[in-house]
Amino acid sequence: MILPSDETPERRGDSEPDDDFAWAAGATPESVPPVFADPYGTGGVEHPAPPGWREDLKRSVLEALKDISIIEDPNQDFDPPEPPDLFMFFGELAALRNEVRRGQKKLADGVSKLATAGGGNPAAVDTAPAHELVALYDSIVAEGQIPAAAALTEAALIRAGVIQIPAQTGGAFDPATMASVSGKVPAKSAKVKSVQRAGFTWRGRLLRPALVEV
Amino acid sequence: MDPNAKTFLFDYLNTASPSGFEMPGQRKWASYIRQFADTVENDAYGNAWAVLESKKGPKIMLEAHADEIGFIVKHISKEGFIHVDRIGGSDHANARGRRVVFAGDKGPVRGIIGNTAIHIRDRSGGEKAPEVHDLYVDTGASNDLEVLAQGLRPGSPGVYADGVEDFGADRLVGRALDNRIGGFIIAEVMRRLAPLRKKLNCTVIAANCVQEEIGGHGAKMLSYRLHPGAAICLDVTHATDTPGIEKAKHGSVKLGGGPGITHGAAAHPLVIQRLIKCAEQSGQTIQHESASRFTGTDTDDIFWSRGGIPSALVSLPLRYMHSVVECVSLADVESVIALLTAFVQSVKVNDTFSQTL
Repeated sequence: MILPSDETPERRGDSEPDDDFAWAAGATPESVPPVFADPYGTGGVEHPAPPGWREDLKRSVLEALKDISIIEDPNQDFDPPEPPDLFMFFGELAALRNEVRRGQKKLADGVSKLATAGGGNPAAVDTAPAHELVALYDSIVAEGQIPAAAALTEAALIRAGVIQIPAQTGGAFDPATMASVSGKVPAKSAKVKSVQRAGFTWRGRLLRPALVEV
Repeated sequence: MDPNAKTFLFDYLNTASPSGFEMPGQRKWASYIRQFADTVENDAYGNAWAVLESKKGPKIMLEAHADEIGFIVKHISKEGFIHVDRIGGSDHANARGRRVVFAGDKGPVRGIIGNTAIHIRDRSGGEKAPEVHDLYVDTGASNDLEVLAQGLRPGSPGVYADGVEDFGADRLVGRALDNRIGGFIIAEVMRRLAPLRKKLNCTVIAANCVQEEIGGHGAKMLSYRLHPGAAICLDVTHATDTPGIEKAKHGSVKLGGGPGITHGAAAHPLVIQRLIKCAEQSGQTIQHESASRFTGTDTDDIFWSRGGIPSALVSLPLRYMHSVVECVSLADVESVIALLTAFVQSVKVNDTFSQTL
């Protein structure tokens, strides 16, 4: 009898990509290339997306939106922008979706590692997973591109006990948890003018200071 | 059990045949079943099937899988240690300290999976089961060149070296009972049917398929090729009568409780109905199981072939699946043989098992 995790998606009747299988086989998200979808049912060819595909996709979508927004006269015939190649579009969409799924898997693993880190022995605590979560925060929440993913990331941080340093514009500068953008040590009475980058603590440890302008 | 049958069973079980490398076991199976069949054939990937021909009635396929779980060499370190990957669902949680045997290019190579002594193992963070890439095999070599000289290289397959033995009054224990015991059972069914062949209303095919443990690939190939009118897939099922198994989650199956019959998913209602009737008529006890989506056996790969093949899954209860101490009851083995034999005998010339509106 086959081990359930070794079932192929087709055999399970599951058309979704089998992330568990890929992870169980020792693959990392970086080593699993995005796969182009097969909208024409030709059997499909797996090959990695070209370098910079994500930026290209973002740029083309923004340009298309811009073109649409400058139409002023609704009576004027709409001259649509060059239609995108549907095959490429679906492929890139699938790749983007896979990227999000892998991000979620990484989040879940990070939270799981943090939950068991050190086994109660503070000296043995490894902060690497916490740093990974913070890096994810930077790439997902700070960029603000995908609100649903941002909310998920923030929830994961809270679950993992990674606490954002409360740096606020107009608030007092705290040298223990904040660093000045200028690199200089500000006066004790200095106030925060703006927050450039969020800072975090975990289990009372400073993972990184909040970067502020004073 | 017939002494010749038992000799074959032990020899067959002790022959390493991990998924993708089944031919040593297949040759032994073919050699044994040939005496009870009109023809024995195989395909390119090593699927083997024996046929009792009939000029009338449907083709009934009794299917088991010929492969077993194992390991495959992934990397050989400079120091001569072999790192492995799983073939199928090998349980790497209890792999350390076990003996393995690889099929090397120059013959079998024995090895041991390294186990750091409990005295010097870091247990401060609570011990966790090793990942498969944490395992390493020591073949007695001092460096990588010596390993290569032994005939091993990345891609050499291996299995645990444990064999089969009688256990208690009525049981067998050993490696690879999943599912080479199935190959034995369908061979025994053929042995019992061969003298009755003139009374049969169907052609009987005993199919021993490859690569079940890695995705049911052999069953896909063979069900397409043979296109049977109905199929009974025979595999093992988890006996859940040992401590620590939650029956609410995994169902209730008892070792020695008789064959399991699975309802739902790929199981065809009319074939199931016939099996139950056969069991009732012969006074056999059966155990009922359910599958909500898939059965985890070759049944999942047979039933949808060629527009649908009425199929059923008959299971042999087995304890400690995918370990080196898999355990079955010989009474259950006998019951499954009797049930499958009765099923074939019950088939009528015009049986199609088609449902009607």
